[in-house]
Formats: sequence, structure tokens, C-alpha cells
Amino acid sequence: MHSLWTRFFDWYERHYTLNIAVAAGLFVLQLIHLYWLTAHVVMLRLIERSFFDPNGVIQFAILIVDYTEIPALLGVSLIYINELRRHGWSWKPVLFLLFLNSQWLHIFWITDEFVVNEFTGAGAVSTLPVWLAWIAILIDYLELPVIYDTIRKALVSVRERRVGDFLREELAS
Amino acid sequence: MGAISLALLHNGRIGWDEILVAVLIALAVAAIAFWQDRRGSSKDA
Repeated sequence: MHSLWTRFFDWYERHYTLNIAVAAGLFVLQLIHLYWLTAHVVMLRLIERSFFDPNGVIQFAILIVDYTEIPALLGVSLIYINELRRHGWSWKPVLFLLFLNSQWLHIFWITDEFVVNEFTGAGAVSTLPVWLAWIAILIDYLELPVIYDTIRKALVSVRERRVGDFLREELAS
Repeated sequence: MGAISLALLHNGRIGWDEILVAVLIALAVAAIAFWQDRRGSSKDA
């Protein structure tokens, strides 16, 4: 088991730029979901007006985003697990892993469906309190600092790889 | 309303279709990594 773990992370580190770029790309897509949450769900609750009127392409985009949420959560979690593995204990990766993986609570328990039902007055079907809907929204927004950090890490990794490739080619010629 | 129903894919469960998407993405990453390894070893040779 230990060997499998080591071999996996050896592979992960060898293809770090690819892994982090894919994870960041999938995670950035989640901004569309956060936009829907803010412009439709939160705005409807706060000022009774929605700023989200999607049509064909946007609807399709939302569907894609929802399908990629789980791979994004897994991919980005690996970034911070790898960071803990390499550099040892640190608050930031632990905190970001907590932010990220609290999304499972949102996916399985206090779902978008519950939030929308509570905010649109269909909450009678649920036994959960309204404040839990705000907790669900807060959990979604916890993705934001992690998205920012993941993009930053991905850009640094791509730049370092380009510099590495350039130096290797220059030294070889 | 259609938009909302689309955004509510994760209604407390994960379906096989979502697991399939996750597996396909993982396979695509593994395939690109494999191709990068092959390209790297042919450059070294």
C-alpha cells in the first residue's frame, strides 16, 4: 500500500504541471456555478430579483460544470495532499483541504435543491432550518480562495516548466 | 426553471454518469502523461 502511494505521487510529481493545470481548469469552471448561486439564488432571496437568465449555451455550460465538480474536488485535493506530503504539516493546505472537502457536505446533505427550496418558499418539504441554507452557500464560497491559490500554483508551475524546457534545450544545443 | 434543474445535478447523490465523467477525465490525464513520458524517452534516446 505504501509502495502504491509512493509510486502514485512519484508519477504525480513527474507530471505535476499537467495534473495541476487540469485540476485548475476544472476548478475554474466552478466559477460558473458560483455565479449562478450569487446572481440567481442569493439575489432572489435578498432583493427578490434574479440576474441570471441562461439560454442554450449557458445551460449546457452549467451542466458541464456540475459534471466536473467531483473530478475538480478530487484533483485539487491531490495538490494539497501532495503539498503536505512533501513539506510536512502546514495550516494552509490543511485549511484548503477542509474548505474543499466541506463541499461533500453540500453535495450530499445541504444540497442546492434544499437551498433553492428554502429560498423560494418551498421549504415546507424540508425539516432542516433556513440558516443551514446560508451555511450551504458559505461552503460554496469557501471554494474561492482555493480557486485563486490553485490558479496561482498552476501558472507558477507552467512558467517554471517553460523555463526548464528552455534551459534544457539551450544546454543541449 | 430549466436552468435551476440543470444546476441541481448533485441532489444528495452521485450518479453513475458523474462517476463515468470522473473516470474518463482521469483516463485522459493518464493518457497525456503516458504520451509525455514516451515523448521524453524518445528525446533522450
